[in-house]
Amino acid sequence: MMRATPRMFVGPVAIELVGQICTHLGAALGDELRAMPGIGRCELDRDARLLLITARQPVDRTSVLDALEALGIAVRT
Amino acid sequence: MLRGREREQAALRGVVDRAASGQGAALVLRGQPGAGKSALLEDVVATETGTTVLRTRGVESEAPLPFAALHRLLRPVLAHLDAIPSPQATALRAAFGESDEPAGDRHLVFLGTLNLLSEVATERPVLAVVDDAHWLDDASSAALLFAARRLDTEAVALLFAVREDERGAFDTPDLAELAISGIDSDAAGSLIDDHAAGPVAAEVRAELVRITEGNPLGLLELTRALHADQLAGRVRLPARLPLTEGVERAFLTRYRQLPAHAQTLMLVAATDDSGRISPITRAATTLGAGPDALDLAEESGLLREDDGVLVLCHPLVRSAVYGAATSSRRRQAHRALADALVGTPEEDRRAWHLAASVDGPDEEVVAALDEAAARARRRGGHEAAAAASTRAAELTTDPHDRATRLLAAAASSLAAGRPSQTSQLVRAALLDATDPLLRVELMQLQGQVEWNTRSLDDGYRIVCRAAETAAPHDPARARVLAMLAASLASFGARAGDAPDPATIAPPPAPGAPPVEQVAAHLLDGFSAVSRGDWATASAQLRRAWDTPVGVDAPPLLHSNLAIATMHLGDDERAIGLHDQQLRQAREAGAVNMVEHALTRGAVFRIATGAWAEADSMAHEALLLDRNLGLDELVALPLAEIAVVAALRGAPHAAERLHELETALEQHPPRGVVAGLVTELTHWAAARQADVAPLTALHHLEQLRLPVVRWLTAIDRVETAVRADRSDLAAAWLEELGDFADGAAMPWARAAFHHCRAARGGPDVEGELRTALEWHASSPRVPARARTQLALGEHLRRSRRRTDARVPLREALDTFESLGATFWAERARQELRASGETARRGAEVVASALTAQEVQVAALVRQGLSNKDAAARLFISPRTVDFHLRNVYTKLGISSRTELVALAEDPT
Repeated sequence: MMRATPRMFVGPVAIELVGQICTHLGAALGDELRAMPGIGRCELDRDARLLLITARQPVDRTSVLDALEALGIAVRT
Repeated sequence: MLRGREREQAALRGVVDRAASGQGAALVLRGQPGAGKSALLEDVVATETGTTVLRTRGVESEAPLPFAALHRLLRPVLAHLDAIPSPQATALRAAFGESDEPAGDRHLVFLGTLNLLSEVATERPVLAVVDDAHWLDDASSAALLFAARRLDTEAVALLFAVREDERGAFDTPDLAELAISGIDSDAAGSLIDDHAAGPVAAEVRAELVRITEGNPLGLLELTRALHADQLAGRVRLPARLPLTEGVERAFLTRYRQLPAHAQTLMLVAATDDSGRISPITRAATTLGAGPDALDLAEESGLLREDDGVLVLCHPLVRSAVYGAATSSRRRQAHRALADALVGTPEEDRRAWHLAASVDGPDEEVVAALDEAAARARRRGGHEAAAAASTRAAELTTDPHDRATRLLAAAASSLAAGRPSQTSQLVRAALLDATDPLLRVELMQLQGQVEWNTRSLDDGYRIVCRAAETAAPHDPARARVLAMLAASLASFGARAGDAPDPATIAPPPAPGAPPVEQVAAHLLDGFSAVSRGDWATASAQLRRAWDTPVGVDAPPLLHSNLAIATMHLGDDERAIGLHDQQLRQAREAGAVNMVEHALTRGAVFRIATGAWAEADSMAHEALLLDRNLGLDELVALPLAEIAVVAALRGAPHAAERLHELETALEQHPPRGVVAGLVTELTHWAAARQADVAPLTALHHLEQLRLPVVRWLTAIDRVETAVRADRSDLAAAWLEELGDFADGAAMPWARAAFHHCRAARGGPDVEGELRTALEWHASSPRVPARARTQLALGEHLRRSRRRTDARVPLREALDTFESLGATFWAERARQELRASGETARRGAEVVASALTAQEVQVAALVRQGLSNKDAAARLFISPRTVDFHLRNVYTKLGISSRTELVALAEDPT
């Protein structure tokens, strides 16, 4: 799959982040993602660099990755 | 022709020529997109004669298809499969989907890859070329990297081309690299002139070289994209663009000049980069592409047909075309491709196209992905299985079903050796799972990741929680988990906030099946170990061992029955159980279990004095770890090797300890094995030659694990006495006495009496003779010789020189047979002091074989063929042959027969 391959999902997905995420950026990230249509829950484990997102309605993973990229957050693929 | 690449061409030629003479190697060509990596590979292939050329490339869309790229590479030579060890041939066939048998351990596929290349190279040297290696599917990547690191003695050159900015799973810091940078300005100028539509002004040429940094594709495409006025310098050049973006934009401009239906065909070809004409044209037709779409696309130069395969002129065309499409167009293209693949053998590819085509949960797609995961699992493609199950979960509406699929994904990722991913998938699944027993399974997996690869305490806490969760619903399951928690606690796990494992599950009902009884006995036994209640521990563990359970009992039960032997120092039972594990693991080709059984079996052999065997098993495990790149496991076998060397008082003991300490720095052991490794390291440090008693004591005071405290019992008390720490000696003796009374193991009683004698007192001789009576029914031979030596020393000091000679001679015999030079010398000195002209020790002349040579020699002496020895050591038969020839040279012999006829294994 390419980065741009459509990947609709529902339910929880785990996304591993690269690098340290400060509290401020973590909060911005949460706000950004929760504002996306379909996202019901968003949990960031800064120690484990793990983002757990739950979609109540279908969401395209590529839009989530776009949002992360816009915040300057890199993702381990 | 290539311009400005003489240095790179010479480097590639050198690798191929050296391989032809039997010095195989891998080389990674690394450079930016368009740097000319593929052109260089084409060039070396085109000029090659006299070699067997095998080719494959990574294909981005094949990431979820296990072993797809490897299959393409090896397909032309699969007829040679019969020449490699049959378990490996079976594993390769299964991995390639050419048989329905399960692939078994994935390392067999890796080894089969190496050995197949090696076998083919016996006819003619092999040039294997892997383009776009950053896009290899994970399983192919792992297999090819395994082979790439083991080509020293093979006539095989393995060339990889990797994009600078996309490493993916193809991370190869240890392989030789050739950086492919831009070509120089003269060569760049010639290239520009070759492709310009008219005369090129000097300043334009300089600007193009500057923008592209000599990147040939950039030069080519940007030159083509400029019109005559720009080239001649009469019109300004476009604003500066980053190279990749600039080249992509140039491709996109050409793409957009195509009619709409040819663009559709290009989009479909970019969506499925397998390049198979038939499904691509069928899919494009359903999306409205006319019959001339293919011709038009080809005429644009963006795509060509090559041997029945549609090839985009560069991967950047693919990213440009696919990236420019809207997501709805992309989904349509994926759907059309999925429909075009109906009824073909490309079911996995179809499943993934389906998955990309839907805009929400879809049962048909989930079923196709479930099937793809099952196929991948059978082929040993665990990464691919994890990916398919994860994707299936993402398209599942029901939370329970979703969590079940994530559990399957997590288990596959663990099998693929990716514990971090396992843990992430479990955490996602736990958000959905409400069924208690599903949660138990998830927690058990998470616990396993923790106690094996991270924190023993965290793993313990999770296993306790899993047991608690299971208790109201499945008490038998809860008991097995509580038993596991108790076992972890007996190896040092602690967590203040976790419940006592012994209180989690009720005892089994009378008449419950044997597996339930055994779990309960083990649980009670491990719990008793943790609180130092050795009588209960001994009684319960013996009950567990004495209750027969079938081979179909839970694996956790079998492994803990074996592990429990450590606590009582029941060496013979331990060796029996671990050897049985080793045989089963070898038959199943289960590499991790082979490693486990070897390293655990070695611990007990250290106790019984089967030191040569312990050393050999630890070396085999170490080679296996190194041959398979299992760096995180090397510390335990290295610790065992260091302990054996230290116990022998061998000249290289300090060197072995140093190797161990270096490995501990580089790869600190984690999880449940960390405690054992650390404590064995202290033991080895305490037993170095000329170490001061206080230093030795410092090391021995840090031992916490019962198993190591008992292994070192005599050393501890004797060292405390020598260091004038009678308080410690008394405390340790008391602890040993409690253990000896409770565990009722003869070696423990013997050690207790030996240590009492070491502390002095009115009846040293009586204590030592009692110790020897107990030693008579114990397999711990080195401890017995220590007591014989102590008795001899005592008698000699009491001027009973004749009496002293008997135990001293016995001790000397044992120490010599153990190769314990330090102790043998001490016994010899005592014998001389007792008036006997002690015989000189057998001259042990080290032949300076390397560890791998020692292993090869030992296996050949056991009657294994080169092929079988290669399979055992996870190397190729040619490498075995190479080591064997070195062994002959070093030992001054010339045949297998002479090697077998040697009195002892060479070292």
